[in-house]
Amino acid sequence: MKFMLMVHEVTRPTAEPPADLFAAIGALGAKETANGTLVEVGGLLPIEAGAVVRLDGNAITTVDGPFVETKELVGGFSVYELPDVKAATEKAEAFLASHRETWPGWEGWVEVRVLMEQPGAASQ
Amino acid sequence: MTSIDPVAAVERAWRQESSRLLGALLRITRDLARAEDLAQEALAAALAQWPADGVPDNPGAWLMTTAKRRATDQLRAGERQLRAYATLAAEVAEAYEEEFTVDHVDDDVLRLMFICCHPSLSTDTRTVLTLRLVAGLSTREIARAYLTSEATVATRISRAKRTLQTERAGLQEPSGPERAERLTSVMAVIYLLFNEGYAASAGVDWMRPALCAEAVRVAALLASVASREPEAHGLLALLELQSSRLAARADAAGDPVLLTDQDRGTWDRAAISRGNAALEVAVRLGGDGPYVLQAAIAAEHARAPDVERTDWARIATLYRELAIATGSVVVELNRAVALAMAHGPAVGLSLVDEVAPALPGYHLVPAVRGDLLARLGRGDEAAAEFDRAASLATNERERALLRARATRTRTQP
Repeated sequence: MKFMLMVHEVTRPTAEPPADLFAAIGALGAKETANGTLVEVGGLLPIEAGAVVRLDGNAITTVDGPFVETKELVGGFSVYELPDVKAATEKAEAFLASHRETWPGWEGWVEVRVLMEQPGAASQ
Repeated sequence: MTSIDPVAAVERAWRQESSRLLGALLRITRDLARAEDLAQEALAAALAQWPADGVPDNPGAWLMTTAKRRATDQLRAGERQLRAYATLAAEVAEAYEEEFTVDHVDDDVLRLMFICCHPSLSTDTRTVLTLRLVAGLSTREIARAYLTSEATVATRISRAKRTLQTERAGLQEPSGPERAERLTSVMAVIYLLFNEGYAASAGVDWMRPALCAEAVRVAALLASVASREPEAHGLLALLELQSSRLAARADAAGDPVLLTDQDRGTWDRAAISRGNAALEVAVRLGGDGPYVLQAAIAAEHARAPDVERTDWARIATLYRELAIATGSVVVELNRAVALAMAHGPAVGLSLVDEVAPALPGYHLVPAVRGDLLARLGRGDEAAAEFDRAASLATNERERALLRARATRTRTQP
């Protein structure tokens, strides 16, 4: 099964992440690559580089930013090939633990989702 | 216990866990031959028991426990040799047993890699030993990958083990500059391993691309245990990015397709994403060594939609940095190609002429000159260069390609 892990950042204590964090998540990514479980990785630029498009009632509005409320947006994602959701949550825990150890004050959460690989699977 | 195919499970567990298992056993026994015997016995036990009893929930832990029990039994039986090699703290079986509970995975795996690249071994032996002990390949698989016989591989491995035994390599922990040096040679071996698979023409043997995959796996293993080394992440990035183009490198007839002519739609986007992520880590760790620079060049090609929209000026700059870092003239030749793409063939040609005297007999010098001369409309000179390149080339396919290019250049006005 393929799982997508999406990182949501709530509190960013410093503008730039410490180098230690990159060593820690680099080690995690490399380990999963060696295991053959890591499929794909994607980082996202801050929302200011993009936009938010919304449908409220009948009105579709596009907001280019700057954004006042930008909390809890997805900051990056990764896709893993894993046997079950438990294995996927373990990857998320390891990812958050590396933040706790290297970037004090960082807070956030990881959304763990199963990739739909078969059309209609969600309604079964 | 789960109901998956037990033999496949043993194979998978072995491939994923053998380096940690062997690394831990090496730390504890300080004897490569004994460590490998213990690991092999655990593997044999798994092959015997898992089909009957089912696959354990944690296959790695099962293998480790089995090897540990055997090692402890041997120690209790009072095997002198084992005592002699065992760590000082492990004079009694209890302390020995405790050694197994400590988690030193990173150091263990790295030590194993270091031993496989011990200075007393030749480069070829290092690659074979790395495939055997770090990647966990059997002698049969290695023989297949190198298009040689199993006996040759087995002989080479046992000779290497004897050399290491004499050197008492298991007891030595490189530190300081020696550690950095050994790390460099581990990376060189992984790179060589990859090129061994990459340089082979497609379709000759199915194990050749597998060799590339093994190199990526070992590079990933290295980056995971030496995570503060930017070059380790740089190497992983480079190999992922190069791998992404494996399928596009040959046409249906097996003839090589140049980067500029490749169908970019067939590039492996997932591999590129992993390569980019590893490169990001390397750069954030302050990396600017040869592997990081080569990965950065590969990443520029990977993100360009086509040849025209490639940032050739940036690639030329990266080649310049790489030439300084490596002192390699061949890199300067590559820079000449990038400069020609960025600023026109005349600019490239003047750099080629500058570096040519330092690369006598190297077929790519006339090949590049020919290409640039052709683009400058100097067809006769270009054809002569292609002929010269063909006479210098050692690869049959490449020679044929250059001869055809010479003929084409001559007939086209």
